[in-house]
Amino acid sequence: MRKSFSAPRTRDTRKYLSFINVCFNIMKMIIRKILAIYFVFLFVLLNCSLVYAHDPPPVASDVSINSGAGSISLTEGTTTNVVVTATVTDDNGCEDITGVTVKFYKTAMGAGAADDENNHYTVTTPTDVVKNSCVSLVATYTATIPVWYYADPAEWTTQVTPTDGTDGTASTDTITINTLIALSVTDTIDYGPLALGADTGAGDATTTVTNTGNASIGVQVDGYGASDSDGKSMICTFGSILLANEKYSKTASTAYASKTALTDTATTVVDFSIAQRTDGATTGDIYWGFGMPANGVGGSCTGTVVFTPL
Amino acid sequence: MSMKICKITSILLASAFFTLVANTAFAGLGISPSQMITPNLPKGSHVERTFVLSRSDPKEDLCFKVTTEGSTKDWTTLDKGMEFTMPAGEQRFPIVVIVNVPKDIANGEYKGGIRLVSSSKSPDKIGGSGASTALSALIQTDFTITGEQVLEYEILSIEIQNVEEGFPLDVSITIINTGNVTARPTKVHVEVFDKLNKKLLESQDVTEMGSVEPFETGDIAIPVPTKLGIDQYWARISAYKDEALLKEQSLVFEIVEVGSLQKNGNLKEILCNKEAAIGETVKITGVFENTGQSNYSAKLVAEIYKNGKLVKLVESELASVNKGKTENLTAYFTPDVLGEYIVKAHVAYSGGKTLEKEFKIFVGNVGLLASVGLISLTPIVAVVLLILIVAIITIAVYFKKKRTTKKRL
Repeated sequence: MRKSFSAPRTRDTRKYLSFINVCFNIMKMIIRKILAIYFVFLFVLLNCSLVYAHDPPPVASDVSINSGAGSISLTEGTTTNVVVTATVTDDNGCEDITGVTVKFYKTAMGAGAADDENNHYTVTTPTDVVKNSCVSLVATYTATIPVWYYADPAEWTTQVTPTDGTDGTASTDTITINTLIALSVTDTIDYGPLALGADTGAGDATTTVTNTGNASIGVQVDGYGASDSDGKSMICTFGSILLANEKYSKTASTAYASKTALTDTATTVVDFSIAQRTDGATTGDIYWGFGMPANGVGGSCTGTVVFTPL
Repeated sequence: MSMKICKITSILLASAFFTLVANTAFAGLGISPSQMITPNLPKGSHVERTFVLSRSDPKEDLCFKVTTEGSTKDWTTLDKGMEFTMPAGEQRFPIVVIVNVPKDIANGEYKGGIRLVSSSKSPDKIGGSGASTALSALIQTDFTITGEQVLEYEILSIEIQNVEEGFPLDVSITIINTGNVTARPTKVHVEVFDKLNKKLLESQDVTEMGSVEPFETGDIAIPVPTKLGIDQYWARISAYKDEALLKEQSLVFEIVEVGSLQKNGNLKEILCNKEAAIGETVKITGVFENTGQSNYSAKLVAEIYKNGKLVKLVESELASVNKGKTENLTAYFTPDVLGEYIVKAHVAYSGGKTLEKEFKIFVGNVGLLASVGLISLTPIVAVVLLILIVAIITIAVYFKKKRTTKKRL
């Protein structure tokens, strides 16, 4: 009984083992295939990443502001063009460079600050940053930045950042913006009709002084009739008027007698200053008065008041 | 009654004329920088500094009169003189302040100023009588005289130009010398990498180079020998003061085929006194502009002829003139014989030579020079002399004729 029973079980086991073996071989083949595909995939991936790693972003160098000048002197009342030049290299060839951004900012503010005409400017390709040349790996760029007269006097930095889709390596240069002491002033002083022996009283002829530089200013005034140091305020068709007859005050509606007499030498207007422009134009008024002599003059009278910022 | 009428007329006249037409126009003027502060000035030193006068609305000529004030008033002058005009159309007008410190001044601080007063608009342009306004700019001066030697400088920039194959690398360093002795870096280290900035190809230290004079900003040319061929390269250039690194820059440059870089230079003018005395040193200055595409070393060469024979060859020192810059190159000549000399001058620069400029120098003794100078300076005197001579001859002929007639009679 045992023999007849055990014989078919052995055959089945063999069949079973054979089946298992076939299955195992198939599985092994499948795994091999999967592994092969995996390695091929991995190989492709690696290569891709290697290619990607061999596409480094562009690099800026040789940055120069105003051809290596030591400092910048701004122009009274308007903008001054600051010219930044730079070299940009890209290992894939300079045609790969898609743009260049140039920031010009007061060093203390940092490159990340928002644009502000007092301390931070940004210009980009293609309008304000122009590609001058592109040979092999190297391109040269020139940026023109119109800087306002009220830009802070301090050390400034320019930062040039190229891109080929990815921001490249930036390069910088620094320069000093000099102090600009400047003003503009109403070009006449209008006293209105004035009889002999009369003065302007508490009435004012106003001169508006505008700070057109980049620092807070005080003002000096002096005057002359025909030529410097002649001691006159006006030279008339006949006769002349002394300097002391022309007076000023920083306060409106000051009585003529209480105003300060103009002098021959430049004198600082006391407690008068005009701040550097930040938002809008900054101005200050000086109020003028005049006393006509009782006699001795007639006809047309002319004189000059000189304004000096300091 | 007549007195009253006269007074009323006067009042009316004064009232009428002493009325200004209100005018809202503005005029502006600025100076930058506004101060000249120079510490560490030695006695007898010479300093020059450029300032910029500016105005936003340059619609007309602006005339300036210059006055100096304070304890520096006798040391300071302007390159433009004591009166000059800022032409219409020019917003920016550079002026150079020249300071000559006396040799016998005591150490200490000296303050003063230079006042530039512009002329006001002429009254007829105002449209009535009365006060007009004028603008002035003030440069404040503050000098400290010292007996100490001060070495103080800043490296402004480092540059390298493209060069032709076979030539040394053209490195230049710009220095602001704020000290009172000549300045230069102690060492410049140059490393050259391939165009991918990865492989170091050459490396050199340079310790021998030119220098920048006190209180001046100048370029120092540093030729660096190389065996590299035509290609693009990176250079990492480091400048040191003793062991301290002052500035380092990585720059791209190219070595190109021989003959492919344009080399142009222009001898713009020769500045020289046309008269001199025997034994007097004559300064011959050539104003040379580098209009090419690379930096040059340049020198002025002047051949001096007398009676058609070359008697002397004088040269300036070799100076570096960077691309786009203009430099004065000066040579000196001391004549030892009376007479007229012909000077033929040119500038020789890296591989090039400018066109020649020719001029004459008259050499006499001092007294003769004075009279010759007077005549040459005043052509009117020469004309008057000529008229006098003609008049004398005419009178002489007249009297001679008269005598002849009398004798015949």
